[in-house]
Amino acid sequence: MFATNFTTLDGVIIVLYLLGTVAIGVVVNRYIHNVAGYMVGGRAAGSALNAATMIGTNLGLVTLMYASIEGFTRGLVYIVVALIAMAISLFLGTTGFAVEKLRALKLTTITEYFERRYDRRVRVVAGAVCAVAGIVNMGLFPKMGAIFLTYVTGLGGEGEDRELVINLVTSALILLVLVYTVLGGMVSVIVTDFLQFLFLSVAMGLGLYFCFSHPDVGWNGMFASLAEQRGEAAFNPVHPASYGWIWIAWQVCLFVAVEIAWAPAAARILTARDPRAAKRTFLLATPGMFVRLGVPVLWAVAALAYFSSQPELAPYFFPDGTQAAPAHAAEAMPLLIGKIVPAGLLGLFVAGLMAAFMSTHDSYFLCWSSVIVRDVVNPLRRRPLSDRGQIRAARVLIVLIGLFLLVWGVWYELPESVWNYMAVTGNIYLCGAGVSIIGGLYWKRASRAGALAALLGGLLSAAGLFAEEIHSALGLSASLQDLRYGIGLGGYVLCAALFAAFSLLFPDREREAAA
Amino acid sequence: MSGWILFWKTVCFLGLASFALMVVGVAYQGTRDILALFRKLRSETDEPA
Repeated sequence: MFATNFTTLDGVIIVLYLLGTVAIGVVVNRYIHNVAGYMVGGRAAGSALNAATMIGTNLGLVTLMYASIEGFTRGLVYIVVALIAMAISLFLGTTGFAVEKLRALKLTTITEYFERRYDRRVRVVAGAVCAVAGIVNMGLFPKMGAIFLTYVTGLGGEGEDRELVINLVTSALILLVLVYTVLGGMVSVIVTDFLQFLFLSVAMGLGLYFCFSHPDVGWNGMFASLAEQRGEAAFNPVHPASYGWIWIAWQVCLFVAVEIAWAPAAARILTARDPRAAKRTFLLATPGMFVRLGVPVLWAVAALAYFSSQPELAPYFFPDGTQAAPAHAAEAMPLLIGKIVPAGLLGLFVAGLMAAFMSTHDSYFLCWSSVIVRDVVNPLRRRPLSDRGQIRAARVLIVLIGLFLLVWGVWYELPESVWNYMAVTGNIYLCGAGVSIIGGLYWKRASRAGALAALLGGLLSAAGLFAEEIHSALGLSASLQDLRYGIGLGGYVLCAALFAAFSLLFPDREREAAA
Repeated sequence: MSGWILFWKTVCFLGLASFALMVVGVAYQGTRDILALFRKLRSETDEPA
């Protein structure tokens, strides 16, 4: 039932590709001589290269997985998120809002901004919240990789040990990413992300081609099947059975904050050659913002059409009938790809998606370790670490984060909506940081008390992870979904209010005196 | 419903087409950027300490 077209040839293609990537990391290591080279690639990337690596970083395997899960359960409406991300990228790319100012400051990490604008304490708090939220946010990445590999390759067969086999493979992949991130730093991330972007673009095109040309799926068949099974709620985002306006407003706030304050995304502002290149990076990356979420949703809709027409698999994915909520949503997209892409090309496809897995991991590893070293450890030390000491500390931290991911990824139970998990864990840092960065750049009266209040207020967003418990404990009349989305949006409203109130109540006297 | 289907078909087509164009442009210019990046890093290596 779970057999796919994956063959030994496909396995060889993947191994060769991964070994080639590691070799590049090792070779590039020769060019790293200082912290700027290791952490921000010498601040020398042009806008095209920067845009490609930005998409490479943003387009992780986990992105494809959570978008396909949402697409399989909700339908095309999830592409609204892609449109929001596109609109924000276009806005930043044409106006340079926040982006140009941040690049002009020549920061090494985005959290360094908090010391420049506020003070060292704010930087340490921001760095600690950023790293914790980021590492927990990353927690499901290996699990997603495991599920993808299991079903696309059929490696685990029909047996019970399927997940165990793939957990081992994913662990090996994390080790592989660790090796070349530890050795090469940001230059290797930039170079390999660029190659992975090209490879991934071809792989995604291949996946779509086989969906559109398959007799059981097809371009028109996908839309018709979705309309028949799910009705208008799968197309209209404000339909009562769909996401609704609160969720849309939350996603707008979230994506503005992600582009400006989320360390791996904001790293592309810092690696740009100059402020103009930073701005152009967002403009060039605009179509990529659509594709990273739009393509997996299309795959998921194709999976819906395909599996509902397969008598053997339909009961597995639609136990209550094709018009009811589906089951095993995370497994649908990889299994579809494994079944419709022919042998040989499947190896190229999986290598492309494993590239996505690795490009996100390397950027995230580097970001969180850089943030901990530069923004938490260094400011707390009496004598800052030397360049060599910082690189060594970052490498040790990368290994520790890798170990944490292995453990978390294996035991943590997959939530119903992986995207909600990602958005809520991101919110913990993004609510406070987004408000404090934008406020600091554009509001003269922004103070360190305001920034600290906003950053600490953002921690309350973690309540989103316990929405179910809160809902039943309080016996609310609103739906669980509304509560979850309300907490998400409410985090930004709360942080903005705290930031404004504390800035006005506790202004920075020395800044006012200097003005 | 047919209006929604047409809307999403148009959105998907335009999104995919613009991405295909972007990949071609970025592949060319990005390769030049990488070569320039390595030239810069190499020149930094050659500078006396």
